[in-house]
Amino acid sequence: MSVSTVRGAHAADPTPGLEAHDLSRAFGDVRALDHVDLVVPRGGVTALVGPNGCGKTSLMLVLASLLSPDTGHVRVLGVDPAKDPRGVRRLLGWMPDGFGTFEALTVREVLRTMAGAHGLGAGAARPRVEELLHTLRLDPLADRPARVLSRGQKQRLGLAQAMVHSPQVLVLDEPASGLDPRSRLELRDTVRALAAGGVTVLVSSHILDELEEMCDRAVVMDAGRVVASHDLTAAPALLRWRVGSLDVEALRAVLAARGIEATDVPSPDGDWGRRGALDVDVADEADAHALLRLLVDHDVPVFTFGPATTGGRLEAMYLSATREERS
Amino acid sequence: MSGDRGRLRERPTSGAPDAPTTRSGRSPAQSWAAIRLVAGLELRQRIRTSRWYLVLAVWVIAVYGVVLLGWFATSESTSDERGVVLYSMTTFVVLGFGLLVVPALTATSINGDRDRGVLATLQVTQLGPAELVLGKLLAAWALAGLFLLVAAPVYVFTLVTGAVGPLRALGALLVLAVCLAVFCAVGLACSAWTARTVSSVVLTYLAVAGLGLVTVILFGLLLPRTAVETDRQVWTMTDDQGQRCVLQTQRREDLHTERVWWLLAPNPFVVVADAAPALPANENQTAFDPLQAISTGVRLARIGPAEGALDECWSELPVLREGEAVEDATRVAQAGPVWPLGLGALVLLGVGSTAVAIRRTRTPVHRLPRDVRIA
Ligand SMILES: Nc1ncnc2c1ncn2[C@@H]1O[C@H](COP(=O)(O)OP(=O)(O)OP(=O)(O)O)[C@@H](O)[C@H]1O
Ligand SMILES: [Mg+2]
Repeated sequence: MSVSTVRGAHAADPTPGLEAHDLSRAFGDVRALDHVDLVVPRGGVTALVGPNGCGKTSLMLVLASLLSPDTGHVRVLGVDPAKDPRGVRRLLGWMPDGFGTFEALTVREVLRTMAGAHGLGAGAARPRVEELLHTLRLDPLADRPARVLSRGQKQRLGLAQAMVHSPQVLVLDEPASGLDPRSRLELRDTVRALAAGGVTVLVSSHILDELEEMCDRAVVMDAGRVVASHDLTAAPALLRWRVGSLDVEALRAVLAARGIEATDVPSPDGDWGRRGALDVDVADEADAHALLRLLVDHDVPVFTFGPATTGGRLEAMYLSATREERS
Repeated sequence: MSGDRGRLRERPTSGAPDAPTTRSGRSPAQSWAAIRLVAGLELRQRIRTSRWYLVLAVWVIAVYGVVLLGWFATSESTSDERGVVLYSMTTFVVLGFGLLVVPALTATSINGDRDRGVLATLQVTQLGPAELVLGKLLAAWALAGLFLLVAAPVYVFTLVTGAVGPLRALGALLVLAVCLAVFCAVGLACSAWTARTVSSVVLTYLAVAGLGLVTVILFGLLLPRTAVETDRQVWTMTDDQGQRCVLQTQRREDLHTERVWWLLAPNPFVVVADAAPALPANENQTAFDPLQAISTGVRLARIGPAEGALDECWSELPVLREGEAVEDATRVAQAGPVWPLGLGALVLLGVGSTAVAIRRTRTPVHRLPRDVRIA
């Protein structure tokens, strides 16, 4: 099957790559997942972000047919892991966060074993393993025991393990942790190439800049719930702009007169005097320009004016989504 | 990676685009291949990581050390007697040391894999829980078989000297192999049942020691409680008419062992001893055969106290009572073998343990052991 037919297929086929409906799972009194609803369209890369302990790994375990939810259900390309775990496992590759590996085996043996475990015969497994060793730059390590691999090398082996049966859905739990800059770029390229081939990828990470370059969509979780979901390819709805002024009260007065909402930016230690900064939500860059004109027209002593976060849009989105949750 | 985009793109199309919605079955051939894969993985892991050759060396020294002791102890005996003693000792040593070594092969098999984070990696493949568990069991059993193989030359020796028939030697090996498999299965069940490897090791040893020791201790403790006072006919020596053996009625306590004998039945030592076919009746045969002694003891325990008169003259001379006391040998023959029951119980335990291990490795998991993360 060629790339175009795959794309055609998923364009016509409404079955999402991954879905979760009303998913809840508690561990004792910890609600790891709290009525999660999620649809990941087929093809493309979706980021799963959220603070530590918000339930990302738990969600991925349910998707990977390892953990069963207390309520709700998930579907992987329409297959329910509760009913047909083998069917799901054929379609899905899972890369755990901080996994171990078969330490006494060499890298090549690990991959061959995993290929065998997925039911690939020796004839199909050998070329596939060599190909993966090559694409993930593991060939110089192929005959070394997995025990001696560095953390980043182990991560690459983990990705190769997840991909060994050429799954149509990949669930990657913090694949970039421990990777050097070059390997990160390569990971991004690998993931993008897979997505271009019609693979649905769900990837969690805390390094938002990187996800932004890799992902088409982002889902933000907090305290076991999905709190935001954004299309990163579309224009953002709101941007958070930070305005610093030598006279914060004058700034506040002008904004209040226009009914523009602003939030205080806590000042760092030390005496700021009358100086201060406020965050303002703007629709787009043109809106920001209008705001600056307004402030200048009213002689507000502005000394900084720019996006509130040094990071990208994903970071802004993440911060605003999780901040709303906190308050 | 970047240079290989094209190759990656062609790949991910192997599965059917219209996702299968039925439960995917496995053919026996596929399952067998999967079990072999897991067993091969286990064996390679174990042989490369652990100091198994040290354990094996210690094993060889232990088995042959005992054999050597037996050899010297029987230096005065005929080769037949020597053969019988060596055969019995080897069987006991293999079983006794097997009880110590073999549970360790599987006692951390499943929770250890979970700790190292490799269990989930296998569980998300096509391998089913039964294939995983049976593969691990097969690998452990193969290693246990290696221990058994070490002892095989002694059996060959006893065969060659003609002390022990081929049926007896083979029977002992077979029953030993089954016992070792049961120990492996118990270890697997414990490692699947408890999350911490320390607990599962302790649990496994408790279970195996329970079979080997606690059954005997319990039997011993319960034995006095089976005592019943009755009037018995007893042959005793009387002094008045010059050392004669006479029949008297005395009040006696009978131990009704038939009420508690079953405690001994699943004891692996009893099973092995009782399963070994009896030595041919031979007047010249005077060697003490512990296997036969145990077997006789258990069979007698099973039928309880003798009905007829008791013989307490302890006289070697032919006395008047001849023909009246029931011979032990006939009673043993009437009792019939105990080992099919014991072996049955052990096999049941093994199968049950395997079933528990399979149930506990099934995914998706509903109930996790406390404070266990899957990944
Ligand atoms: N097996 C378990 N037993 C008890 N609590 C658990 C278990 N697994 C997860 N939790 C709890 O559930 C919550 C969600 O955990 P999860 O691992 O899904 O978080 P996460 O989003 O992946 O975090 P991180 O970003 O740090 O990886 C946490 O509070 C965690 O402590
Ligand atoms: Mg996590």
